[in-house]
Amino acid sequence: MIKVENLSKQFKQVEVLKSISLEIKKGEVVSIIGPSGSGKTTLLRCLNLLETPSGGSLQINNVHVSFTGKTPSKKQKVDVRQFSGMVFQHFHLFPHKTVIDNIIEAPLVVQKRNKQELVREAEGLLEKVGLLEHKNQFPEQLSGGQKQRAAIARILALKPDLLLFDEPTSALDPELVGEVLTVIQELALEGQTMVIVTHEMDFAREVSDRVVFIADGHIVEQGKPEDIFTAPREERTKKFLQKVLLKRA
Amino acid sequence: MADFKWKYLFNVEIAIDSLPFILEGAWQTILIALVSLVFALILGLFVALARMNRFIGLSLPARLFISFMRGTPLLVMLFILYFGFPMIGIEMQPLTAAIIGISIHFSAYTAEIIRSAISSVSKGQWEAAETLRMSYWQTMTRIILPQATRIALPPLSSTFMDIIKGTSLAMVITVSEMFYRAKVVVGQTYESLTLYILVALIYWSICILVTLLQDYLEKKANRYVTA
Repeated sequence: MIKVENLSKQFKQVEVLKSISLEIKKGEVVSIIGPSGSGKTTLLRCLNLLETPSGGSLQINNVHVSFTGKTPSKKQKVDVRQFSGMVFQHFHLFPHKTVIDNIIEAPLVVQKRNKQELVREAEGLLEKVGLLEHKNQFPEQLSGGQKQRAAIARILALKPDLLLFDEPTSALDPELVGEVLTVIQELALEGQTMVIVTHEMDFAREVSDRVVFIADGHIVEQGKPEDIFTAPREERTKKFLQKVLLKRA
Repeated sequence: MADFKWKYLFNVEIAIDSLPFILEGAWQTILIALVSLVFALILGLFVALARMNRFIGLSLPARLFISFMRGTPLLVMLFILYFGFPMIGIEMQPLTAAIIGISIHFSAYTAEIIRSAISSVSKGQWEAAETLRMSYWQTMTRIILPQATRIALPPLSSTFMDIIKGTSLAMVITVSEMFYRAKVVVGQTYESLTLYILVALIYWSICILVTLLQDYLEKKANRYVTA
């Protein structure tokens, strides 16, 4: 479904991503873990061109883009994004629109679809994420967990082939993390292709088909969650897991 | 204080007699102000967008325009348009000159207000809209501007009051707005203090109406904000 080859990203003098190659198949759930500043979020943002990679190439379905340092054209961005959707750490719901209007906004104005039909669909999505009774509230009236669930419903309305999650629970109070993870887990069970940048190790272990460990802009190692978490091969991975798992104990 | 002339402070009879004539001018004042506000907002929006554009061919002229308009008195602008432009063959009605002068002068101020309001909407809103596949204009009109409006309302109301008061300068190019008419009545009755106090009170009243409108619009715009 998506394939990146030798992807690199440079911010001024700093090389954030160094020749990353990664392929994700349809229906696969891939978690990206690693220390902060390792380039996880940058990689994720490169996948739908919120950041412009400095080099390498990206292929998603039948769309292929090579990077030479230039900003991709509008058409390239549109082509890449027609298949993907992003869930942000800080939700970025539209505060001036009610929950249901947030969800129908893009299909309504971008895809010019019928409003009644969209409202019905949106209500279905809200039911799925457990927010149907909040459909007429404004985002500010919701808790963090509810906001993130609404943001997930909003992007699902576009039926993206690939869903990208950028630390979806990092901005939440601890007691609200579970409700968001449950929703993501359900999506995994439905076969949604997902890439999740996360610090929730238990969750990554449970939900992923594959875990990718990134440090200093490299993929240090990747594999089945059982292998990565119980028998990491690389010293760097061991150190990182020791640190995060120790902090929790 | 013995020769303080109380009776000239405010001659109620003259005030009442001249009121219909003055109020007709007040109507002119409001009309010029409203039309100028609309033009200043539209022009200001485009100047603001140009000013924020990464392309220097757009941002530099916008910067220059704002700098020039803010750096020149409205009175001078009106003189250039009405008395100066005929020299190069461009003649216009006093009312036209007044509306053009006031609109472009204040568009520099509205442009800066709109620019700061747009910049204050978080970058995440743009990114969210982008990943939802919305275009620049869809994002601008449906996501950014509605949020920017809320922030821009108080300073825009102040600018609107400046516009209302600024219309009084149009008298120098013979527009028969309220202040011009007050001068006419003074010429006939010599009741200068009465007439100028009268128009001062009417300007004030119009501005109070603007404040009420601002309160109403702010309440509406703030309905989604809980804090």
